[in-house]
Amino acid sequence: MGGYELGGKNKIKNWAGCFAFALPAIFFYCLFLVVPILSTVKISFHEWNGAAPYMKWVGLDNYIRVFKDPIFYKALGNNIIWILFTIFIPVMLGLIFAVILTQKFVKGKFIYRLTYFMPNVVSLVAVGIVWGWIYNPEFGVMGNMFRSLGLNGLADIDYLGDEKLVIWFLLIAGSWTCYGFNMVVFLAGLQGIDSTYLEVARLEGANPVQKFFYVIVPLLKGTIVMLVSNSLIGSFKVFDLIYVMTKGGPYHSSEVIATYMYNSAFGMNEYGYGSSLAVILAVIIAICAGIFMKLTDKDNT
Amino acid sequence: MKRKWKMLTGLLIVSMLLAACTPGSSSDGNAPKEDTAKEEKSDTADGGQIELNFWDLRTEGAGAEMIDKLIENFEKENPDIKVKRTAFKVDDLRNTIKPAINSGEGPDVFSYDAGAGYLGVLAKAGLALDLTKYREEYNWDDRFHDWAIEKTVYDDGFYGIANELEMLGVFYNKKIFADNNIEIPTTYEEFLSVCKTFKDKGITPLIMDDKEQWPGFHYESIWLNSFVGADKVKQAIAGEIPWTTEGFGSALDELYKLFESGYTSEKPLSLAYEDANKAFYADGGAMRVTGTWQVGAFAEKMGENVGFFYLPTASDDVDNCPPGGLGEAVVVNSKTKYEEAAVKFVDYIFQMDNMEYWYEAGLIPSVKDVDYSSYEISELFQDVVDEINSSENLGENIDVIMPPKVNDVTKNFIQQLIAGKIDGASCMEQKQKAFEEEIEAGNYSVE
Repeated sequence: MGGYELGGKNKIKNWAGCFAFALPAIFFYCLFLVVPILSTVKISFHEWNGAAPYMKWVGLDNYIRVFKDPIFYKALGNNIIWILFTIFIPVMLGLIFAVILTQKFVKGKFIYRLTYFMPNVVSLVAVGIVWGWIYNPEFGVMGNMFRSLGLNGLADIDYLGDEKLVIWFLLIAGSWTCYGFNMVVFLAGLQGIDSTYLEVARLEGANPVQKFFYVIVPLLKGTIVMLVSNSLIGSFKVFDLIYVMTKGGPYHSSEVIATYMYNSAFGMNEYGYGSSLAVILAVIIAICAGIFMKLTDKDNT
Repeated sequence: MKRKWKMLTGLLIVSMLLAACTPGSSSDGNAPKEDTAKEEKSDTADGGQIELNFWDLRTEGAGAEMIDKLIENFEKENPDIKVKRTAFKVDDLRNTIKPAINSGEGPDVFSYDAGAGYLGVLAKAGLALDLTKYREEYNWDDRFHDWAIEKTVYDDGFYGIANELEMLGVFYNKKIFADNNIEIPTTYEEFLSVCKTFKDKGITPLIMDDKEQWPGFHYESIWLNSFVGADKVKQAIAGEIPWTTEGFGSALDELYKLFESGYTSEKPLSLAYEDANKAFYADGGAMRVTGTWQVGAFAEKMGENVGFFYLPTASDDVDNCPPGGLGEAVVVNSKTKYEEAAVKFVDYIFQMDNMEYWYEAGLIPSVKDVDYSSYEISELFQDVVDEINSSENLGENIDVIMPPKVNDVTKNFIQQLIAGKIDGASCMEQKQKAFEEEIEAGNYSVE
């Protein structure tokens, strides 16, 4: 507020002016975000089948049931696997591809960048359908490929039907969609690195690996933090890919909280229970994001 | 000057906000009035055209063509009514219908599972229109089978028309059977030996899939029906005997034996329903266990090369009542603006003159006394209809009657059973537990 002091009255008016400008945004924010969140919380304290005009108040019963539900823990476990995997693998792949693509010896960078980024623009539903075909037990490319290579052991795996392996095969499909985005962000981050650092490192006799770990990675820390927190939140919300490919099956083996929540509310008519799962999911995400932000703040100072 | 400008913008924003609010409130308050006025006009005079939204489950094949044809004819006869059809997959419709009706955006007419856990819930919540007065007006009692009418009665109200009969059984590839000199099995033992013969020759005996989880419902119904019999299954459905009664669990163990012995598709849990059908068309197996809603598609793809039989009963003590049930009911939204037109459309679909379309699409509507002798129907469909007519009674297709939670448990335990994780007895324990919970929660009633 350059140069002059505002009086008390002016300050209020100024605030009111700002508020007036922010009002449309606040209005829509409330309408589409705050109101639904509050009504979800409200439904979570009730028993409701989604159709009846009355909801029955049950207090914390839904929450107690969630914490006693083995399927909830199975889903939470899968979510955690999903998070750990999608935080590290796609971010790492993105970084490696980005660094390779900035090297001088790579020809046709545009083509590579386009190819790697392409999966990211495809909707997850389409990705799910296509990967479903790849894993298809009758005509899937994956099985045929392994068979023609003589790897019958790998070809005989029931990719989406084996309770222990299904989540990992879903993760491969999931990672495929997001490493391209990470790569593009890293490419932008790499543009921002002053070339003198790399020049100095080269003069000091650092080999490419040392350059990568001691110069590039520390300088990209901000980008890495941003991408990790981004995929942290994204991974908790994972739904579409799993819903399209397995619906959480076979027998809940690939269930995540979001699919379980959807199935509880819309499939089993238990809107209250589904809402309480949604609330718990939101709380978990908030806690994780909070902890993560705290940790990285400390590091930055 | 500056202040004035600020006030002006402030006012502008407020008025914009108000403008943004009003459409919402006016559509709740005023719009229906306008629409009823419109409706009256179109019903009485030849004024504006009205559009009925119709959601159904026929996404492809002869059934979809049939319904399009019926709509086309209906529109010709009623130039003031237009029908907009949207086809859904079963799960998608089940999951969207309630929020859609509640929000006032729902279809005027839709197909929905007739069971207590589905249509029953809508009926109790007042989301489905009670058609009792039209039942008399259109004389539906004379046109439909009694058992079809009974299916959609809840608390003395009549909430829809159960549309078609779906039987569960085994389709077989006639050429593969003939090439291997195999006859249609008449006992369960013969059925097993047929499976064994095919397996020994390197032919997949049974194409069975359960990726989507609902095919599992049918396997459960078929095997329970064959082993404990339709009467006991009916008693369990009515809550007279528990699902854990002796024989129920071991029926599922028999089902598992097929998977265990390698008589079925290799990876049933990741095999999708449509892919399994494609494998059957491509001679990828000798038999396909599914239901008669596939008759149209199978006849179209395989011509005369496909036949149908019911799974033989396991012993002579069990009556030969093939399992089957009514697919869905055609229901009218209680919030529809065009009640008369919607009911007129529902009635039209089932008029006797239109039965030819149903039969030629390979579907068995719930309309009685249809003389299908002059219709051009496939040999396969002829087989199916004759078999139904020759069976004394019908068994039950369990999932269309059960409440949602029982079905959800069933989906999962059948997959576990197929994977060899649990035995039939513990499946039935889970079913009984969910069944009791749903009764207690008021989602299912046993008389």
